[in-house]
Amino acid sequence: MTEITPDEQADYERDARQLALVDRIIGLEAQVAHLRSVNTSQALRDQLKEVKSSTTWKVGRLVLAPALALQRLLGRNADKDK
Amino acid sequence: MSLSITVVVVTTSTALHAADKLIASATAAGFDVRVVARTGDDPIADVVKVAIAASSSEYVSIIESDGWLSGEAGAVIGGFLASHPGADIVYTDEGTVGRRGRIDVIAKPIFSPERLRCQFYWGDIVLYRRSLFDEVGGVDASVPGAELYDLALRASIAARSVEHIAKPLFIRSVQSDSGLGGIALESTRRALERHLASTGGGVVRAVGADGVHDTRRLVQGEPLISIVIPSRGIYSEIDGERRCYVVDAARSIMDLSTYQNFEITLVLDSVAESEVISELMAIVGQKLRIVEWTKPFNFSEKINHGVLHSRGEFVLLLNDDVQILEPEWLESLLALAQRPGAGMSGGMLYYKDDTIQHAGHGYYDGDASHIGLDAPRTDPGPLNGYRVEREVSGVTAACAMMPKALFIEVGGLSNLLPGNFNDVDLCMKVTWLGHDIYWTPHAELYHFESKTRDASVHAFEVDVAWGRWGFRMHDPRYWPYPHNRPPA
Repeated sequence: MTEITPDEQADYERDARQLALVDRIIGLEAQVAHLRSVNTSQALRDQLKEVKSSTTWKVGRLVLAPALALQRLLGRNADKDK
Repeated sequence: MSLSITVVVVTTSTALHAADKLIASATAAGFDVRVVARTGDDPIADVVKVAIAASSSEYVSIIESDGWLSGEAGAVIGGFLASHPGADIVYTDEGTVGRRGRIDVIAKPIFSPERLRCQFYWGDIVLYRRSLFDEVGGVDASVPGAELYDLALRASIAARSVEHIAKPLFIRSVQSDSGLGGIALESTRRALERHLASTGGGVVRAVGADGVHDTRRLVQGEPLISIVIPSRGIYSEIDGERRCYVVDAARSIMDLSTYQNFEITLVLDSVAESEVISELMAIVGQKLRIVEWTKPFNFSEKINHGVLHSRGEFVLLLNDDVQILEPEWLESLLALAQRPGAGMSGGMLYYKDDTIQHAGHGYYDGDASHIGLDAPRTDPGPLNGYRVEREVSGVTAACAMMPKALFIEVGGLSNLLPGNFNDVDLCMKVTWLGHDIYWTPHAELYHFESKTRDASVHAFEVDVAWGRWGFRMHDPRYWPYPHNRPPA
């Protein structure tokens, strides 16, 4: 084995810690960039579109349609009474 | 629609009709078409010059092929130029007519200067901004038969922007792929020699009739290379034979390498056998440095430990289960690692059954894998990609050279990744800082890693690597093809 003095050993350990720290910093920068690349609002819009195109949503709209129509009608009359 | 593009169709006086389809398709695309005839091996420079002088188009293209433009070529190119007003050179993917008339796409990488000196991969339709064409002196009469490749090489140096349209806009019948003749080969050699001389130097080892040319960069100076090899340093039974991989690897390095200014820094586990150490000292002699590894297994930390104890200007990360096959492997890796802006270089690794294990890293559809995985050793690869030096997104740490200063600058291999993806992460860090990575087929090694190796990928390793770089795990820029097989 190559002879290493205690002082040299301490230097190597410090250098190894510095390497790890630099790695963490670049890793964090990358993570930030990664998170930025995920367009959250677009993802939510896509999710909403998916929900609205589902059968469950369409059936629900159909079932609730009379109630919604009635609500709108009542609302309009209430406005008139004011 | 009329585009500001002049296409000069070069045909032979005896085969004018062969270009009919090309002329018709270029006209339909809205290009200003000029037809000139090549007589025998006579240079075409003069006739092309006359044809182009008569036009005032913003872009010019010279096509000498019996292929034709696809129906969408005009619209796609027009749209592309409108959205890329700074494009000086534009080339496209191509297609060949396959079975039942289906078009097989020949996908191309983005502009890759090192690859371009090994093959004219741009293909048959290349648009040059007129001012650039004039700036480089147009077509050169002194390289008959290689005028278009020569023009591309010269223009690529002067261009500010070389763009690639990833659509097959030029179609050829498969049979139309004729080889280069004697005069064209000699001209190609001259063009490449001139190009290498004006881009940092290099040599032309061979020019190929099939369009693949063996050109090499040259090592600058004689810097010390530290070959860092982590190993347990023990003998074991391998295929019924008592072997110690690191001893065999060291022997092949010492026996074969023509480049001599290197040291081997071995990072040996505490369990290393004294017999192994004695053998290594006898084989490697003064070039050997051995540092002990006393901590639990962590490949990344072992490599970092070795690099920190090394003295070279360049480090070569190398697995212990390799055998060198090519005497000039170090020169090939070093010459690329010395390119301006270079971050890393890697070589061609084969399994022991002579199939390819690694021809670069490919990051495709969210996965990282090896280019060429499992392909036969003789397989040229798509677009002869396994035969040419080229830009690549990453290389394996089983054999990767880089400037030591850069290794330190990026924090070495991440000790958060003890077993897997540490090389993917390293390459990502290197390119994140703006450096290029190159791969060469001229540094050939056997890598005795088992094809069925249980990589034992841990969830936390995926979390770390993809948590950092998931957004870059689809990178078809230099290798626009899916993996040969899914990553293990």
